[in-house]
Amino acid sequence: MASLDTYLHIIAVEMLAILAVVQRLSEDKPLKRVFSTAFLALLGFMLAHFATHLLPAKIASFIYSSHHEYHSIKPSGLHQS
Amino acid sequence: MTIALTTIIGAIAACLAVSLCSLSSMFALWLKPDVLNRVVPYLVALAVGVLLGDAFIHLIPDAINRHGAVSDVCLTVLVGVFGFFVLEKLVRWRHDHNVDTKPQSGEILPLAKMNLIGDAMHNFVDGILIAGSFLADPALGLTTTLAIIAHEIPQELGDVGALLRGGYSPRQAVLYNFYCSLSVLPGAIFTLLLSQLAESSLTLLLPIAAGGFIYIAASDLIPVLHERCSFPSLSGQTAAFGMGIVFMQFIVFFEQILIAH
Repeated sequence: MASLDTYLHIIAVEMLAILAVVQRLSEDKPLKRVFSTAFLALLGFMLAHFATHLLPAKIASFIYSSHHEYHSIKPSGLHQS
Repeated sequence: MTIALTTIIGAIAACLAVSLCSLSSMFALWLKPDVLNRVVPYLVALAVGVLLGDAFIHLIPDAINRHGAVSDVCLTVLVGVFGFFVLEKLVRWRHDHNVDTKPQSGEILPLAKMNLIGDAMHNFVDGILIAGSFLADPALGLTTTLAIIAHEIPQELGDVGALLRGGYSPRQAVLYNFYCSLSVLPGAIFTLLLSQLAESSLTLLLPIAAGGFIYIAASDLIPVLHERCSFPSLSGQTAAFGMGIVFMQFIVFFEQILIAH
């Protein structure tokens, strides 16, 4: 089962695609403006989320995954009784 | 009963994916008007095949599986046909008295409006099915969403063909078709809020949607197909009609494979 974060990212990407297409198709000027504002707001929010959460998390997992691997090598004599 | 937040958000993501698929008919915007005029009758024929296939291969058997009594389901299908007939009479009485199958300049034929109503109802039912399967199991929710997307794409192509034939411009046809597809969200929210009621309402909604599809295909779209009587239109429209039915049957096999896994 996918995590809540994954579902939220999927929803945001779907919303972006929908807003991009619908604002292109819409012929009504005020409605077009509403759609493009919503698109920019959502895109800004996603970029901010990427810069403040996803990217640091990826970097941290890259750094600490190697650290974890280093620690996971257990000394051979530890389990001897 | 408490529902996990992931179930709610997952169902909403699936519903948006289905709505997004309705924009696949955007290809109509890139076609030149004369090419579009030549393609539209075949899209209408495809819509007839897909609507009848959906009604007879998906909706009615599904309703019988849920309800059990064939006679009750058939009666509800008839109620659906009757309801859509009354609705079309009201649309014609309220907005226009035109019985032609060719739109005058700037005029929208009732067949386009009926198609939008039928499509909105169908998408509402799809929303109930998606959310219901997400409530049962998220994996089942994903397979149901895939199956719905698979039958949605040819249907949306056919629907846009019918809307273009009904007098909408290509942009309006794609946009209104998309707005109708958003009714999948209220269907899902209705199910998430009142799952018991929504589950039992499917025994009524499925055959009524089937009745609506049969009515739209038989009374609004098939007469449009009879406008051209040349051999190329006979063979092309017959092939498109048959392709719609074959595609819906193929979706049944696809669903069975998905459920088996």
